[in-house]
Order: sequence, then structure tokens, then C-alpha cells
Amino acid sequence: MSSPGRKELPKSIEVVLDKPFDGLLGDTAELRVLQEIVADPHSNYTHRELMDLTGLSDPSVRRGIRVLIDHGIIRNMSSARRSPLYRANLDSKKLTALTFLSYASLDDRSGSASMDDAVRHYCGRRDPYIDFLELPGVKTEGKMMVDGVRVYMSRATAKRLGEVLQEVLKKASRDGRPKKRRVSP
Amino acid sequence: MADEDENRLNAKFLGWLKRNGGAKHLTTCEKKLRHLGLEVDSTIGLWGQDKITIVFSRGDKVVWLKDIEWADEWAKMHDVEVPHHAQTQYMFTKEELR
Repeated sequence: MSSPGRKELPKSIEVVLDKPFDGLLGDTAELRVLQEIVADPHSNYTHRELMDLTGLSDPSVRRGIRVLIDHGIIRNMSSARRSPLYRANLDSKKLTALTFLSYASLDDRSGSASMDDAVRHYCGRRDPYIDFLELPGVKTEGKMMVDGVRVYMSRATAKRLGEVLQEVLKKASRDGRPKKRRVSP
Repeated sequence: MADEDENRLNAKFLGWLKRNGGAKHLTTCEKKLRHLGLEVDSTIGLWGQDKITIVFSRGDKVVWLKDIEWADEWAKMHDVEVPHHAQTQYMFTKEELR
């Protein structure tokens, strides 16, 4: 029984709460590990972290990991046999398809358009950009740090800019050595 | 993961919640925030309650992502919407620049 004034989760979400892919494929240990990877494919996972995040036992996580490795969905990035570090295989089309499935489940329930959006983003090339880097950069704490500015533009603008740059370069090539010119910011 | 930009980590958390059906028990969210290296206490409160909020489900606290479109924008902005490798596309080939 809920207290008056206390905000409750909508029933439509409550029935699928904590069920991998909204319960469409069942609710096994393998699916729970898979759901965790699909939900964040850009992080690394130790065995212990997967146990913690999924709430599964050591043997269940081990079983789930074995299935995902066999299907090429995750890889062990560590060379140390006793401390594996797992990461999603971003080239796996199964992983991408399952990402779309997770969006589809959400969209069907909530009326959102996350899957359409994600498919468009996946199929379409990303917005073009130019990086202006201040080379050579500075070495800080063992890493090369380079300041820069990234300018995004529409495809039409990028195409026009490309054409103009090609014309300039061709002309410079025809005229002989390209002249060096100081350009102020 | 410590080198990652905090905004990207936030985007990863929102993406994780979205791909988990848009709601997860608070205790699980706390585990994920710790996994990402984010502050548990401050992160969920970063955004307005019209975007992400804590509600109850069968007596348990649950984090509910209310504004999915807003979370989509975060994911797109930080390129964590669909799994892929970061790519650089060059405008010219070396041959064209010769």
C-alpha cells in the first residue's frame, strides 16, 4: 500500500523492472550479464564488478561470461590469467542489434523514439568536423596533451569547404610551390 | 576510466539507465555510479526531477528516467548511443593533396 503523496513508479514500468530486455527472452543469468554489457558497452568489467552489478553468484557470472565470449560479444582484454578484464566487442553486430532491442522495448512501453533515433545515428554518418590542433603540444604526466578546437558543420558546408580547399590546393600546385602565409586567428 | 570526462560518464550512466528500461533500483544505480567512478550522492540530483527522479516501487526506492528524449540527446552528444569505435574521417586522401 502506497503512502499518500509518495510518488510511485508507473505500473507499466514496475512489471518489467529489473527484467532483462523487459522479460522478452526470459530472465536467466546469461541474460542478466548480457543486459549489463548492452546497457554500457563502453566500460571495462572485472568478474567481481559483473557480480556486483548483476547481483549474480560467481558461477552464474562465469557461465554468462562464457556464453558472451563464445558469441563474440565480449572479450577478455587482460593478459593476466587470474585477473580477467572484460570489454564489449564493439564490432559485434549482435551487440548492436541487442542495443536496438533494448530501445525498442522502452519505446513500445513509453512511446519514445529512441530506437528510430539510434538507427538513424547508426546508419547515417556523423556530422563532419574540423579539428584545429595547436601542435606540437606539451607532454604532461607521460601523456602528450594537445589543445585544440573542434568545429562541427553541416554536410553541405563541409562539401563546399572541401571543394574550396581543393581548388586552392590545386591552384597552389599549378602555380608552383605553395606560398607560406601567416594567418592571424 | 578515471581519465574520462565527467559529462561523458554522466552520459554513460543515463544511457545505462535507458537501456535498462528507464528504471532501476536505487541500490543498483549506486553500484553503477561507483563502477563509473561518479559521486553517488550528487549525480542523480544534478538534473531536474522532471528529467530523472526517485520514486517508490513495492516499498523500494527506484531511479526513474522520466525524460527519455533528453537522455537520448546526452547519449548522442557524447557518442554513447550505439556501440561503435570512434572514427576519424579525412576530407582528402593523400593522393588528392599531392
